[in-house]
Amino acid sequence: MSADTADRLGTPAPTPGRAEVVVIGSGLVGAACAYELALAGVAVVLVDRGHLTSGTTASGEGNILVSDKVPGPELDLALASIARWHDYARDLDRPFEFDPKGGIAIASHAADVDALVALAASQRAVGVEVTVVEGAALRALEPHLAHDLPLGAHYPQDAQVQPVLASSALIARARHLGATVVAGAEVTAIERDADGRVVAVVTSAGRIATATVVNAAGPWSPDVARLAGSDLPVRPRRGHILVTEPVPPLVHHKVYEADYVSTLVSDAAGAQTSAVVEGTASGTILLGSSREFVGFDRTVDLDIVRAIAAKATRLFPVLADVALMRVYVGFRPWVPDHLPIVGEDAVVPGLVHATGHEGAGIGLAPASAQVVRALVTGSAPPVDAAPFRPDRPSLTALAAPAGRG
Amino acid sequence: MSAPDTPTTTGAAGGPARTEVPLAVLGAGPAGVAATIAAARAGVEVLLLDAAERPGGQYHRREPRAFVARRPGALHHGFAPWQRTLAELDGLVARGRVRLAPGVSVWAATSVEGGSALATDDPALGTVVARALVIATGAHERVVPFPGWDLPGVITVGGAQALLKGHGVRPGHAVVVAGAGPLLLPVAAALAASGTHLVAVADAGDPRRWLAGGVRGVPLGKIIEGAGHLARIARHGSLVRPRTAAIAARGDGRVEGVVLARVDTDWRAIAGTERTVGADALVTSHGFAPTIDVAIALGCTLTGGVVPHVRVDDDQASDVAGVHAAGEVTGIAGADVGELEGTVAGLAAARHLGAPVAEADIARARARRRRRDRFVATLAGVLEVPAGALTWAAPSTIVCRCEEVTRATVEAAIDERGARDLRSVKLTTRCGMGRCQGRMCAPAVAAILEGATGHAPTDAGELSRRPILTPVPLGRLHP
Amino acid sequence: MSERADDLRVDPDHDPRGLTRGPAVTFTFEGESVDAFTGESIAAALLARGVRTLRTTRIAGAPRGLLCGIGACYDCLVTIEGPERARAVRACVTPVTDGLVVREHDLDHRLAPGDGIVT
Repeated sequence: MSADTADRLGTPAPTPGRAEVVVIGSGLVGAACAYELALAGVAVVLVDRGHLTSGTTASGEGNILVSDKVPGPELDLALASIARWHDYARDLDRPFEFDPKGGIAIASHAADVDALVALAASQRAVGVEVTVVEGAALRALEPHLAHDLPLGAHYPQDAQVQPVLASSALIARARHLGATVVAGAEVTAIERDADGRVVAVVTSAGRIATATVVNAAGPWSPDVARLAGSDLPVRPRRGHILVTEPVPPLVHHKVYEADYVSTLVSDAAGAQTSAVVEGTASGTILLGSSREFVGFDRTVDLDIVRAIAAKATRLFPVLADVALMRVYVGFRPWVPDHLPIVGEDAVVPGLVHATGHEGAGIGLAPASAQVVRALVTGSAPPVDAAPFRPDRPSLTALAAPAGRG
Repeated sequence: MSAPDTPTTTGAAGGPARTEVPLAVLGAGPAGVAATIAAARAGVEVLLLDAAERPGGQYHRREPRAFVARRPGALHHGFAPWQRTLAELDGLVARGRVRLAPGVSVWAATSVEGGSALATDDPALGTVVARALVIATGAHERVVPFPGWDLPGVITVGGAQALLKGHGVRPGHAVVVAGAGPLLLPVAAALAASGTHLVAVADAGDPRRWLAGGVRGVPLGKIIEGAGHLARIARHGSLVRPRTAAIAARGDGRVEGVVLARVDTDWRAIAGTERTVGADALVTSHGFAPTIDVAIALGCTLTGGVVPHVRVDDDQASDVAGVHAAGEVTGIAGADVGELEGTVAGLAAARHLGAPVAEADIARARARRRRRDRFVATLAGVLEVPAGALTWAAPSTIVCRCEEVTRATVEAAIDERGARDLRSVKLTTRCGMGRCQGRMCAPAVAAILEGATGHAPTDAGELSRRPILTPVPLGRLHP
Repeated sequence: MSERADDLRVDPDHDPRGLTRGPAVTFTFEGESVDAFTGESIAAALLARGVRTLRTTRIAGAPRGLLCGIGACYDCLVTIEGPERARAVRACVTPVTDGLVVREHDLDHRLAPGDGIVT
């Protein structure tokens, strides 16, 4: 099998008896944490109850965006993270289809134009590169866009990766730097001492004595938190992705409807769909997006599939005769105040969370991992990490909205 | 064709079209057409959906409409009765009892309140919501992997039949026909009659398996038919070699030679009997695998081990309310049995919908089908591919053609990575993730798993389970 | 009907059905002109002229041709040129048309072996 497949399956390794840090979860956030820590000389053990990178990351599109973030802590984290992605693309051995292709947000209704222009201006003020484009300039960027779209905003800094390849590359390099990776090891207990401090992680593949646990389990991170006697207000928010047959290059950037931004901060319990279209290095075109609270229900909703197809072909009429090959769902780790949770648990010393990135985990993983490294080693974080603390007022004050989940 | 008063509601602007029908029949082969006629005669309005342009399935596959045949029935079996059946179908269409929907693909199927929803790629139909459904989606061929089976020039027996019956094209100038199953001799005979030079005709099976059911296991008509094929093949200069298999194809980028070997009752090649014959085409397959993807999507329970089929009761009812199945999808049994099953399914579906179906009628149809039980059991024995066939594939032999996964990779996933069922093999090796939806590789992967674990996979049909059943243009999802 | 000795179309002396084919058409495959008949599939028309390789696989570059003949196996993919873009079709279920431009299927070739998106 390919080296990549071998890595995804995980080399059977004896579980170490102790580690400086145990990272739970081998999606991109966990993989980046393992890499950044190993790079800093920390003895890391990365565990995953399933095959490596088989959770949310495997269902991701691979977005690395600044365009969809309003000025604030998350945008700061994204800017730092994009810089780190460029380092990864240069430094890691394995290619992962890193493509700094840029993104275009489209105001498809006249009503959205002013909001998009205002957003672009506010983002520009904090260091985001953005140009408002319309008419011929817009079509020069994307020749197959429908001709009657009022306006777009071009963000050259947006990029894309193949998320599973990227995660595999990080894990492979972490291994080379001394990390141990154990797949198929489910965490069944987190032992604490009389002061409530973490002293060990018990897995189905053995017990690992450690003083620091990184909870990078995505939408399953509340389960991990509960094992340690804490909790997290993270809930699964389902999304659908449609995959087309491979076609010659038709879509050159990540293109999405500007109302995508507003759905990010929407708490509506009902399904939300908004067009997202991007090509991949492999020739397939990925279409999204939807956001629903349905727990971990993996059943594909055909009405959502239809709605996404309709919105995507509205933006790109050429897609009408491109064949849909596959549909899959994934579960984003949603947080009520829409900021990642990166920081030490208020109740359990030694438990560090790195989760709650909702749909931005891939883009934000490197900088989140740098924050984790800073917490563990005392180095300087890439941005002020206070807004991401688990005990921040906006998180503890907000109750989760009504609805299934 | 005229459309009956089938209610068709088009949704509000932007909403998908939706066609509500009492009964939909999926597949216009012998079983599906029989079900359609039986239900329509009982007074039920039927929508008959089929992917092909003309009814007939594979068994009654015709030449394209652009061609004209002076003797269209030649090369066909049961042509005259089938023409009568089609005439009856046309009559029902003319009277508005049946609506034909050819050239339609079903890209998703879900059970809904009070019926089944079939998403089609036809803008006029949209989603078909049927209170009752008869699944008659037939079967596709099974090919046991062997070295060189992926070379251009290797064609399935059904594929050679489709080429010949559909297009009047022969598979090659020097053709080996080797494999097993009920199509082998008829297709070899048809090829011989069409001027194809048959280098060798080999049947891996043991003719004695036909006798396992006793003389009554095999209808006399079938014995005569088989003898006829043998005679036709002999008349064109070939003999059928029993218990002989093609265990490898060789050539530089295409078939240039075929390795034939005698095999034992387990289909294991007998050392020292291998002989290579020159050929430019190898026509081969080893039976059939029911096409179960719609049934799986609707939640029907499967049965049957390595090559599963839909489980049905005496009324051809699956365990999903309102969903019946008939023909090869319920187990390989041939066109005649398929028609009998279709009739039972059509009557049972009609009764399920409240149509006045006399118990005597449905009892008679059931009895006709039951009379073939022994034949079906005998056929199952004949069609079973023994475990020794697994020895033909080398470690480097491709098992999943779409994703180019070798036998060695599949076995490594089982032996070293703990893959124990179809799903774990799929996730770790990509078997079944390609365009063919696992159709070509599922039996082989299941057989490898059975060999390794000692039992058929616990998740039978898993490689055929997916939300989108067939590639469908994005513009046809939301008609 | 072609009179070439190497044509695999059933000839009148061995044609139990007495087929008259549809009107003649011409299409190209890999730049070469191919004569065919309306109603034939691309695969049948190519095979009739002895062309068996329809594509090469993306990982091993191995040649593939027609296998199942009924549209189930997706091995017989070819790429046809269209007004807006090239598209992949199954040669065995796609009819020939006059002027069709066909080449060995190559639209899959940028798929990475480790494309890990899971259904």
